[in-house]
Amino acid sequence: MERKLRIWRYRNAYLFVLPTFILLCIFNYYPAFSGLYRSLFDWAVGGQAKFIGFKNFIEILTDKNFQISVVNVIKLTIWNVLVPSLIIPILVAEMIFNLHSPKAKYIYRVLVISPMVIPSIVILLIWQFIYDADYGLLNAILKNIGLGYLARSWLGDPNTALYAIMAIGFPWIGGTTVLIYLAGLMNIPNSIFDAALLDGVIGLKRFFNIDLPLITGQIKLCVILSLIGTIQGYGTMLVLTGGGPGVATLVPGLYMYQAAFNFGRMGFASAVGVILFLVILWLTILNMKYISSPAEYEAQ
Amino acid sequence: MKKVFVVLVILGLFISSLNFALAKEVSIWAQVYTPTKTMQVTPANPYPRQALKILAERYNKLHPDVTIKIIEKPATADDRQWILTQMSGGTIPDICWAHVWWVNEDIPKGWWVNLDPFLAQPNPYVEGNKKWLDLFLEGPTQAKISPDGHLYIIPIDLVSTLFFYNKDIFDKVGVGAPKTWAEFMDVCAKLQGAGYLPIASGSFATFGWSWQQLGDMVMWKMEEDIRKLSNLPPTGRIPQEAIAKAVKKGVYNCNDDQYKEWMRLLKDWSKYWTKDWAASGVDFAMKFRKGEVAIYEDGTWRWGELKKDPLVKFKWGAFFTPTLTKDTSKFAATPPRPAKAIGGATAAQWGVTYMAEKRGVVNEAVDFIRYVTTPKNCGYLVNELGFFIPNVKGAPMNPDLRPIFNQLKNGGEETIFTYGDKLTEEYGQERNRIFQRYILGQIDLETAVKENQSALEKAADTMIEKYGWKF
Repeated sequence: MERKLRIWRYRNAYLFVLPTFILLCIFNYYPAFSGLYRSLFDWAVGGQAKFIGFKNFIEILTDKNFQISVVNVIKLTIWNVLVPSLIIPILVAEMIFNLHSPKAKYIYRVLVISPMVIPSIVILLIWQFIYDADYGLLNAILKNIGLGYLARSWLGDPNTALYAIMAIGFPWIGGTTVLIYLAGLMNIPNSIFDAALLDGVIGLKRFFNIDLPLITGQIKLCVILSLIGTIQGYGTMLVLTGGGPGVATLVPGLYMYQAAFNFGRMGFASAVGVILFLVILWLTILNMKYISSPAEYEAQ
Repeated sequence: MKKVFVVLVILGLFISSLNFALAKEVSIWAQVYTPTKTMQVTPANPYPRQALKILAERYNKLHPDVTIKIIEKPATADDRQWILTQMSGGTIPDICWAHVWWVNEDIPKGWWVNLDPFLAQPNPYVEGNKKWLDLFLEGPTQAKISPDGHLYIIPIDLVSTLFFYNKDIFDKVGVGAPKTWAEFMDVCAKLQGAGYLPIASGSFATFGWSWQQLGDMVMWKMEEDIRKLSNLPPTGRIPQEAIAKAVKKGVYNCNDDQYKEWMRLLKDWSKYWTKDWAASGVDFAMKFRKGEVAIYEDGTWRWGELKKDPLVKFKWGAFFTPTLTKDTSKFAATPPRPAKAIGGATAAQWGVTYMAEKRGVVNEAVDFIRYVTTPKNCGYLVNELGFFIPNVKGAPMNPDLRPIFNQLKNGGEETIFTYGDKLTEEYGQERNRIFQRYILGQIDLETAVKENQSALEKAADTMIEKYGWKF
């Protein structure tokens, strides 16, 4: 009764939240649950849906191309989590954080975030030119420094295509990620740094024993976002390689996209989506469970 | 007097509203033929066009009770995805451009109107015509027949693939346009020897138009056997049902020596391709236009662009896929069998959608297409752009494209049983991936053949189940 009264008392607040909640249900939750349901059907948009149980899942998991796409996405995920989401942005954030001049800090923050205004498709097309087998920048540099024997079709060679995809975005200083880590570092109370200084904890010692443990929350967030982005992602491959040569750059996201929009197999594509969802959920739980530090909680 | 005036005004309004209520509207999305907003040539508007708009206005004058509404698709929306969403949402135009393999996918959904009964009737806009179907070229029209044996798409224009070549480079190297496959390989070798990139094609990464032509020239004997198995005439369209039957009966088999020879020839030829042939996003057309590649496989649609492009500072020509002879392969036919044309209707292939049925305007939609497909109107529509060929007999055409028209007339992809997406689009993609891995040395010939046979059988089973074919 008291609860009902409380809801009634704050009815205006609930009313304000209601449209967001309804839209969230329609555009986020309904498609996701619909995908779960549709994954059990042989279904194309506008066609009759035929219940086939777990047939889609069996077909996916026994398909050689899907297995290769999983291996590819594992390689991409390891790379994307370690390099563009952890190592490089943390180092850059540390460097900016440790600058003495506030003006310099500001300028570097702006410089790091500015490239974000460039549409990602433009960046991809620039990299396509860089990788061009015959007239690309990369091969031209290699030839001019006497390493011409290394020149190749970076995106057209199955041995290098996936690694070429990984290298896109060099030097991998993602603006948002750097800012997240920087905010984490700026959030650490000065008293901790002062105490550390008195104890002689400086340089790398401070980085590993104080800075890193105290930005674990930010690390968790960036790792989860990177996991989700990489496992679901396929835009780069769609634009640059179409999953090829052969299946060298095929990833589950692209496999799902092609099943849905090239071949009209929506039920099958939904099943791929469900598998991706389960994998992401599992990895997120693992991440939440195992990446933690007592220091993080103490700091809070 | 005042009263009479008021009565007349009311009567006028009533009659005009009645006319409005009786008037029917037929909507059309015509892909590249959609009129542009201006007729001014700009980099963003290189091919201004208005022929469809003018034809719609002329049609409206003939039929004041029918208005043709030309729909513009958002430029950023993918064609297929747009069609799927508009179909699902019940907002698809009454007449809609579509690739036939998309239509084939949609047949069980009842999204497209079977046009056979209309094609069997005369086109009233062509004097003496008894059957509308007779106005169109046989081969390219047969290519649009769906697996259930019906036509859902009216093929209005034609394109074909060919090899463009840089005449300046050819002259410097001292070679000419090749006629046979042996000559072709020789030309490529000489170009490479002289330091040029011999050949580029955007299709190699996704489909391989000339791959199909080469396959057809190597496997002519297998084609004969497939035709015999289904009692088909020696020429003309090979229906999907006959292909599925041939797969199931082992007549169409990737383990056959002819098939293996096809794959070997492709691998041998690949040493002359640009290094990045397997990368799907490369702008090979730009490489040719800048004079960086000597030969470029593309289609007639590039004709106008090459003619106008200020980047193209060299003389260029075009040749068809050269003929395979015994000089290259023991499997070549005697007498040599020329390559069949790849292409057909692409930019103007219109179907009538279920929305026309729902809105009761199927007859009007069909009538407008009939009006457009008179030789005069079809020529007017198609020739405005300058790089398509009318698929209507007797229509005027760009004289540059006459040889291509003659080639298409003799039969094209509808007669090529290896054509990638003949069974399912999914198989087309899978086969291409296997071919790429083989050509790039990731798998050997035996593995490639084994994987391909398995994918082919799966595609045949899918089609047999979908259409309930029994052999």
